[in-house]
Amino acid sequence: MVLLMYLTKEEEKMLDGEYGPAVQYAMKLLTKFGDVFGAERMVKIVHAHVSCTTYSIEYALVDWLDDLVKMGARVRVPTTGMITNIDLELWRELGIPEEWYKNTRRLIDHHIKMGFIREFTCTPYFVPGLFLSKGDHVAWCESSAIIFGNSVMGIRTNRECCQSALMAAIAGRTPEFGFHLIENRRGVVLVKVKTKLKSVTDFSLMGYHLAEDMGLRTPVFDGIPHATVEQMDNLAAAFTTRSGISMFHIVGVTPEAPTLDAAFQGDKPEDTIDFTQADLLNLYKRFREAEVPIQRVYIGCPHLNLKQVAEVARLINGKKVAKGVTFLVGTTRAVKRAAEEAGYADIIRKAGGYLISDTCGTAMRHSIGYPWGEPENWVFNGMKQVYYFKPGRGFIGDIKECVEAAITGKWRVIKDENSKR
Amino acid sequence: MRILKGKPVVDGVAEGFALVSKTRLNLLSDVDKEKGIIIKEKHELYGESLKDKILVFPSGVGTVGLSTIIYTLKKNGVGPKALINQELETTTVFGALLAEIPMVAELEEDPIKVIKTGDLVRVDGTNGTVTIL
Repeated sequence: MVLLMYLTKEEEKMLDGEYGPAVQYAMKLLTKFGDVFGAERMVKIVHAHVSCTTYSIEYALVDWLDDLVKMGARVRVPTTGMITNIDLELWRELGIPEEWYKNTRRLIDHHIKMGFIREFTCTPYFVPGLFLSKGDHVAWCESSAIIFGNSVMGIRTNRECCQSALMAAIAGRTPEFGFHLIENRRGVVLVKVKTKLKSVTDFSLMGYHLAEDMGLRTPVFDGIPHATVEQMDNLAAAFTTRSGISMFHIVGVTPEAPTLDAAFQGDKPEDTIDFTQADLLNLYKRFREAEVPIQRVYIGCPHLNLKQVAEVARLINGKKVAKGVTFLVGTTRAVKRAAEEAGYADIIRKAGGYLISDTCGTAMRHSIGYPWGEPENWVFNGMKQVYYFKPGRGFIGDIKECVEAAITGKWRVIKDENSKR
Repeated sequence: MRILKGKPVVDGVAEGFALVSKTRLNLLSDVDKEKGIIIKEKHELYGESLKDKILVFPSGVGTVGLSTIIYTLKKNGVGPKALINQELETTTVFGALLAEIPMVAELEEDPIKVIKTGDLVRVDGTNGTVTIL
């Protein structure tokens, strides 16, 4: 096939093999990829986030990574990895069998050899030092991070798969199509928010509720006067349950939506959906209202920032996790280090909890099972984990409610308390 | 014999019997990657093998892990010989590029309606044509 897109002299050299076989291989795939989607040129990326990191990926892919390392593949831009199946630092304490550690280690070592930053997280945006600016091009492949990055940070990425993101990291480039182009970032569906969203939980439930109808269409929220980073990153994660969206706009809040008109780039919405108080109360009923004993609490979907870890520490300081309850708090390695220095980690440990990184509550179970057996009831701080948690039942609560559940060993939300929130 | 024109996606020519799914496929959850068999319950192709078939479906859907599954099916020797999609989806395309499985998309007529399961089909991913033999 004749190459259709324009390449710079430098890019032609890369494609001709002057920078070695790995760069050539990456450029071959990326230029073909770009041609299929009508890209006119490549754009340089400033960061990549790659998900070839879970042990549940196939052996065929491990061999592929082996071959890349042998070809001398190195990433050209700062590159972080998605979560793995275990905490590579705390695995012994968590009772993870050595065999699981070794398998994951082998996989991760391939990434380290290619020059990855030692961060395996779903929130690359909470890795300090990786400040990205509005309009920056990146290649990301964690679905919730893609939505958060495009929507809240104004950076530009398509929904990459692990291989396309890795190829972009090795080439330092990605073909310019889809969400790299401003015209494709306009809103498509108007969501009129007709209830007051008060908590992270409210945002998460709303995202889950709207996901199925959204498909691949970019929603524009009208009626949310203010939203915190935590509310928006949980909204992004909730959308990944049942939709394939790449971004959202919140009018007056997110960077590409100063006005309703700007969010739609002058176009009319294709569809209008209301999100009402009745919807929210119905979601409370399904995912909150219950009075049951619980066995596990996981706070960290998406991985927490330092402010949130501090909140967990403040709430659990001097208290103890109930007998029979596993209490996990998930974050990035960088935040974990900072939390150690600030004393938050010690407070969580003394209470009987674990501050973990590199993995999350459901990723640990996925494909390898839990070292502590299957729980019946989990409490999570985000709908993404509630959705993917099987078997058993998952409940959603804010950090305060999650900590309380860990201390008491009970999840207790009754209707009256709810309506006062 | 009938020739349909479409968009060339992945180079190469392959000939085989068609397997046509009317619905979008999430290959991660709908296919047994070791055996290459469709395991989605109540699906019209439930229990059918993908091995050496020309797989025709509207588009890939769901997880960004589709590329990995397409590559794995090929490496396990149970994958399709070629892919025909009506809509382009990035992770399906990248998986086909990686696995070097000839692929054509965006045909002038909807392949789901024109091609029947069991038809002998030739896919030319280099020139973007599908021939129903």
